[in-house]
Amino acid sequence: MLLKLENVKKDYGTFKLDCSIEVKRGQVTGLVGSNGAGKSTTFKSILGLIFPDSGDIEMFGKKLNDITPEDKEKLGVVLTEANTFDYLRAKDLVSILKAMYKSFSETDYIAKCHQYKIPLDKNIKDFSTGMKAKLKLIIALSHDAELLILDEPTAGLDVIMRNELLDMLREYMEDDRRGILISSHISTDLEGLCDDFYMISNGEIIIHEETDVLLSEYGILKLTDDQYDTIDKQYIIATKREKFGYLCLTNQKDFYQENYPQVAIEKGNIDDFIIIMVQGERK
Amino acid sequence: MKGLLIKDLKIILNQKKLFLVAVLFGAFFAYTNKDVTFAATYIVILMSMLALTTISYDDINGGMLFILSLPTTRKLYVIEKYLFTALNLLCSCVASIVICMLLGQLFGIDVNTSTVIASTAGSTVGVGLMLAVNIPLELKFGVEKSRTAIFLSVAAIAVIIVGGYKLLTEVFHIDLKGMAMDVLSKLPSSQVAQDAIIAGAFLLVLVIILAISYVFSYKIMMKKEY
Repeated sequence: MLLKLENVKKDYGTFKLDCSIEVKRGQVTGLVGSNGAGKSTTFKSILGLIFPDSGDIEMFGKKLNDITPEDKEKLGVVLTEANTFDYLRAKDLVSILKAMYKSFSETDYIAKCHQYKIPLDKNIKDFSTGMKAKLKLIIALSHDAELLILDEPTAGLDVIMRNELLDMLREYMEDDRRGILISSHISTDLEGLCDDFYMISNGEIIIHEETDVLLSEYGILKLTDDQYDTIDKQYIIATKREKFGYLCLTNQKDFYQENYPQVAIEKGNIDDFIIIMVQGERK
Repeated sequence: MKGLLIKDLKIILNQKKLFLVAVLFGAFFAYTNKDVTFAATYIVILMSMLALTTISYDDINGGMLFILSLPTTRKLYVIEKYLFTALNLLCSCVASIVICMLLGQLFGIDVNTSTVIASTAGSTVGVGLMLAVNIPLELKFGVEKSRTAIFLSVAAIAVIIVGGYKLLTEVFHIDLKGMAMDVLSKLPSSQVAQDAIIAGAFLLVLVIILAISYVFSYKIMMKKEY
C-alpha cells in the first residue's frame, strides 16, 4: 500500500472533511468531485500542510508524522494552487532539485523540458498556464517517485495539453511499483487513466468503485413519475428530480435492462453520476 | 537543506543589481563626506535585509506549499532560514569592511579600521535585531499582514528599551552609563584587543537574539496551516 487515509477528519466549521482513501501500487486512483467538495483539503492533509483533527494517514507504510525527507524523495507532488519557484528559471531548478533528490535525473529533466517546449532560460513567472502545469509535472516525474499526488494537474489546460499530460502519466505508470492519486473536476479526463475512483462531496466519500465497474454496471434511468412510483428501487443509489420525472443513478444497470425493458437507460459518465449524487437525493 | 540554501542563494543573486546600487550609493556618500562610516552601515543593512526577501519570495503564488512538498520538513525550513540569515549577515559584514577599505584607498580617505569595524558590527547587530523580529512575524502573518505587526513590534521594542532605560536610571537610580564606562575602562589598552572584544560582544548579542527568534519561528511553523 502506498497511501492510506483512515477516517481523516477536519472541521472548519462551515466545512467538514471525513474521508478514507487507499492508493495501491500499480494503480491510479482518481478523486473526483465538484469545486469545494474537499479534494484540496484531502491533498493538504496527506502532505501535512494542514493538521487533521483525527484519523490516520499512512504513506509508504509509515505514519505521516514519521515520514522523513528521505521518504519524501519517493513522492512527486503537483498542487494546483502551488507554483514552483516563480522567480527563478527552469534551469535554476536543476541544482536545487539535484541537492534535494538523490535520484534526480538532470538529463531526463532537461530532455523533458525540451520535449514539452519548456524554456529553460525564461523566468517561470512569465510562463503560460500550460507551461507552468507541464513544468510542475516534469519536476514531479524527475526523481523516480513511487507515489504521485496530483491535485488538478490539468486545470486550466486545453484538450491537447491535457492529453499530453495524461500521456506523461501513462508512461510513468509503466512501472507497476508506482501509484498515483489524482484529482480533477474534469472527470472524463480520468476515465481512461484511473483504475478506481473516489467520489467526494461536502467532504465525504460518496462512492468508491473500480473504473470498470463504474463504467459497465452504473447507469442512469430516465423515469416518468408513473415509472418511478412502480419501479423496484433497491439498486437505485441516488435520485434527482427533473421536469419530465426523475433521473436515477443505479449500480445495477443490467437488472433494470432485463426487468424494465421499457425504461430509458443511459450509460452516462462520471460527471453525470457526480451531478445526480451531489444534486439529487442519496439513498 | 542544501537545496533550500541553493534556492535562497539564487534568489539573492537575482537581486545583484540592488547590491551594486548599495555599493554605488556607499561610494557616493564616502566621496562627498570623505568618510566611509555611512557606507559601511548602508551596505550592511541593505545586503542583510535581502535574507528577509527570501521569505517573501517563498510565499509567492503558493510557493510554501511547493516547498513543503519537497524532501524537507518545517523544522529544516526554519533552521535553513536562520542559517542563511546568519551566513548572509556574516558575508554582508565582511563585504562591507572590505568595500569600505577599498573605497578609502580609491578616494584617498583616511580610514580608521576600528571605526569601520565598530560601525559595521553595530549595524549588523541592529539589522540582526530587525531580522530577528521580522522573520517570525513574516512566517506567522505573511508579507502583507506582517507589515503592521512589524511596525507595532518595532514600536514595542523601542518603548521597552527606552522605558526600561528610564525605569532603571530614574526610578531605581542605577547608573547605567557609569557601569558601561567602568566596563570599557577595564578593557585591555591594545586597540586590536578592544576591537576584538567589542566585536565579540556584538556577535554574542546577535547570536542570543537570533536564537530567541528561532524558537518563536519554529513554534509558528510547527502550528501553521497552509
